[in-house]
Amino acid sequence: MDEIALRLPSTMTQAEIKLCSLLLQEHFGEIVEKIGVHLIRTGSQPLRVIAHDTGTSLDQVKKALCVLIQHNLVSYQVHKRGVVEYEAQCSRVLRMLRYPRYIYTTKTLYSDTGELIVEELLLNGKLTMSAVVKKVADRLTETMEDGKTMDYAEVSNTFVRLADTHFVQRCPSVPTTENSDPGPPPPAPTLVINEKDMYLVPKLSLIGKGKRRRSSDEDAAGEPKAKRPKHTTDNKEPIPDDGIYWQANLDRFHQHFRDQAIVSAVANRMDQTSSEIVRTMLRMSEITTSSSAPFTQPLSSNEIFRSLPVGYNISKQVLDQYLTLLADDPLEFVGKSGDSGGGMYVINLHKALASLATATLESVVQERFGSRCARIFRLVLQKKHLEQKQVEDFAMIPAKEAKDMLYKMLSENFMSLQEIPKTPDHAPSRTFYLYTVNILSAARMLLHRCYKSIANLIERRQFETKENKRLLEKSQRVEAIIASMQATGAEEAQLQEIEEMITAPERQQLETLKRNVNKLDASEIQVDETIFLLESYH
Amino acid sequence: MAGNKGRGRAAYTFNIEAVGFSKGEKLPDVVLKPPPLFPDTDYKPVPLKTGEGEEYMLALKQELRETMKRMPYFIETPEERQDIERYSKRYMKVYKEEWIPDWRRLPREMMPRNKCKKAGPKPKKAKDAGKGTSLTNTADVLKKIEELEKRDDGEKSDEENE
Repeated sequence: MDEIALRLPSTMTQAEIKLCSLLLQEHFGEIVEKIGVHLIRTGSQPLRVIAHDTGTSLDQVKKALCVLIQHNLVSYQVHKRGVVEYEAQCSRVLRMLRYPRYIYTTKTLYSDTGELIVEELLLNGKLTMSAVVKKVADRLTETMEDGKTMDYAEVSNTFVRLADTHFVQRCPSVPTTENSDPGPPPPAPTLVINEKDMYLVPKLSLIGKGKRRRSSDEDAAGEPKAKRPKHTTDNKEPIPDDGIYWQANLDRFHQHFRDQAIVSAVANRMDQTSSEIVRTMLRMSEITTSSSAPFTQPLSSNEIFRSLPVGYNISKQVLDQYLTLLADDPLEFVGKSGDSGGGMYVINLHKALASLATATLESVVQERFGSRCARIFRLVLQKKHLEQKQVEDFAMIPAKEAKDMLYKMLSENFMSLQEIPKTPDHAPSRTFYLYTVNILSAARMLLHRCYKSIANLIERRQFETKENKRLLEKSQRVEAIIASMQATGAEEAQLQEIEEMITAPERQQLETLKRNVNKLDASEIQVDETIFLLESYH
Repeated sequence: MAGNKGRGRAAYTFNIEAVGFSKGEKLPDVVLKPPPLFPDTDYKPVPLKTGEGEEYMLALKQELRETMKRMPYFIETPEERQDIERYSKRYMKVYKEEWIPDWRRLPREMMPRNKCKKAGPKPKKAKDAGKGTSLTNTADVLKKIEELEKRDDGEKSDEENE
């Protein structure tokens, strides 16, 4: 075939692929996992090749691809001769780890309503605004007192606010073509979106209130359910914003996390007021600066003064002093770019992220190898290149210990050796060997370790759950029995009897399991925070 | 070649002191096997962060995990046929809402092919239904033939399908 596209080998490491596999399997099942991982490994492929290479039926592959495309994990492209090829977005798969953080962040900014909007968008990949509003109104109504319902208008308002601040965005859509277009339809639509339309909320008049679910529809383990219709009646109503889909804008969340990290770093290093000034500057730059810019647009001291939060009572002179202090700080988070308007200042985003990545590395060295090792690490960072003897002298650590520590860090790739030959023959006895820290490659190494860590955490958690499967199922059955008995008004003595079906040692086992699973889950979330910092710096 | 001092004795080609070992010092043992799977750590890990946010995100994470398993996007692996059909299995099936993607946004090849024209694309169902009926038909027919033979009845059903 003359049109075989150049199939570039996957640039994903084994650790990343393993992690993607675990995430896909946990969220979408084994079939989707098989197809997803295959695409991550092999790159772009057409439908039939995927089916053939994975030994999966065409039907299953189609279903899996539909799910993956819906969740923005796979995209497609039409190639020559009308062949459609599918490509996986590996890094997007890894973002599934961050879903709890996205949702919680929205809660802190836009309370429960906002939280549920983002949650529904993440759980479903993409939805129309009308669908989101309805789902969220229903969910919020469930949690309200009897008789109260959530109005669609309130949910819509929050949705608009999320769109205005770019936390949700429109998905590329099918272009509207005239019906008189001659010729066969294309094998796949080319989805497009106009920059200016990305946050444009359609003018809808969504009127209605959330509905509570009828109790017969409730899911409960092991309970038989009434036959429910496959399609709800709502499908028959015309959708006002048909074809206009929305998704969570992960980049905007990442920008928020980045700003949070910088503000928090300034607060730790200096004081609350400095961090508030930096927060103000970042807020002013939110929409004007792209997330990959090395520094924000210059802001004048006057502008900053006017934009400070209402409660802040510092004088203009004090603000100027703080700005000077920030600009002079060796960490260089803030830079002065001019003198007009009382002084023009920028936030050095790239430098700030580099500092955060470096701090992460230092912290890891300290916690893994001890504080003396950390001292050596910081020393080499500061001096850029040092010989072994120099390290011993500067760090004031005996030779044997220093040597041991340097080699340990070298073997784990936190440091590297630079050879500087004195003579053209590169003779080892006449060569300088200098220890140095390459922050970029050390950060990449640590990032790789983080992926492996999370994969280990997930596997251990699944193992713990599997080991206790029988006991967990028993516990769930007992809970279901107790719940149904309580509903039918059983006596305390009867409930006690059922509860005793779980023996004391079994209860202990369940407690231990819960504690372990919680620890493993919490660790995943925390490692992902480190992953975020390290990925932001590259 | 000059420099063949100390015959039979190992001599380093570089200054051993530069690497950090003093002259004549015993070198550490050669490592012959990979490092242990769960090595002892000298330093214990720092305790996990705690707080309102962390607790909330933990609960959220576990809740999301359970929710996703119940969503229509989670495709169950079809189980292998059990030798005996368990009665309880019928009542433990979780009814999932079916999800129909927006076909306008997807390549045309994604749409499943329907053999029979039905209200919506239900290809698997159509195929399975077709297969099912043909199998049961054949089984039924064979049974019927057996019965009729036993009864020594010469009649045969007109609607004999293969």
